[in-house]
Amino acid sequence: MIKRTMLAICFLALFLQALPAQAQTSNRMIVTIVVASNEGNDFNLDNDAYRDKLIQLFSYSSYTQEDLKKLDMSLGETQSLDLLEGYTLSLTLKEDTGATIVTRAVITKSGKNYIDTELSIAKPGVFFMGGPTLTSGDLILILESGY
Amino acid sequence: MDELKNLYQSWIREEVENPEVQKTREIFLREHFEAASKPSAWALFSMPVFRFALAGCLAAFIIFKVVGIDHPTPTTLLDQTEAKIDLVSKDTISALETKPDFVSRAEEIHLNSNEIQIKKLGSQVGPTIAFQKNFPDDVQITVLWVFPKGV
Repeated sequence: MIKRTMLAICFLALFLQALPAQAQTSNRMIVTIVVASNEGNDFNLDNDAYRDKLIQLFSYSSYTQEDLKKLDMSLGETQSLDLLEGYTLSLTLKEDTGATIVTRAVITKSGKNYIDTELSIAKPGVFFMGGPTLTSGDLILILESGY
Repeated sequence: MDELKNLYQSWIREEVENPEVQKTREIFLREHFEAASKPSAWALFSMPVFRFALAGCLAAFIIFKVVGIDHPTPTTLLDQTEAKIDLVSKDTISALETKPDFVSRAEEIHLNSNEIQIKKLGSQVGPTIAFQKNFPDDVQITVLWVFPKGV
């Protein structure tokens, strides 16, 4: 009986120890900055899994990864990320239920909101934001949550 | 006889063209008849709201035509404060457009996703569109797009 109790306590301790670590990593947002254009046929993304998806979703001939950032989001905190040519991405973690987060993502430039959105994302989840124009093409952001 | 007729006609013409008579006529018309309404079709086309709506409809039409939509298709594209789409089977795209913030703002857009729900979407620079695609590898991707130069 004592053995069983001890075993149960050990399992419980291990389980409780594992929980915070899981929660901490699951609020990470990975932002991949991509420039899409019809100049050339270049395709360089670190994560090649998105190759087919980009091709099926859009009609550009070239996709160039400019940067990849990992943001650890805390509840209520807004993090800003400088993109290209004056564009900025602001991410705010508004809710976190463990399995789902609510985040606000805003792309701004010169005081104007290019995209202002609020999403409920069941982790893991992926969404793309795009459309702002750059001198060399159009901006596309790949945002991954809970990976 | 013709001479008499011509004389009569010229007399009438002179009377009608008399500035005093013209002035009285204009006053009479103004007082008793409403001004004729101007053609309104062009005015409608020149309205930015109408142009945005037209551009949005065109974008949706192109997307639905090119990609193809299985039924059920979007049934509601509601007003400025709420827009909902209840869709969609696998391997399809669901889409919703919004106009810029100063025209409208879509809120609580429910694409057929357990993974991502768009609670708010807007832009200050151009119309936006949200769509979602299910890929064969069970990955569902939601795309939020802005057209800064219009559609």
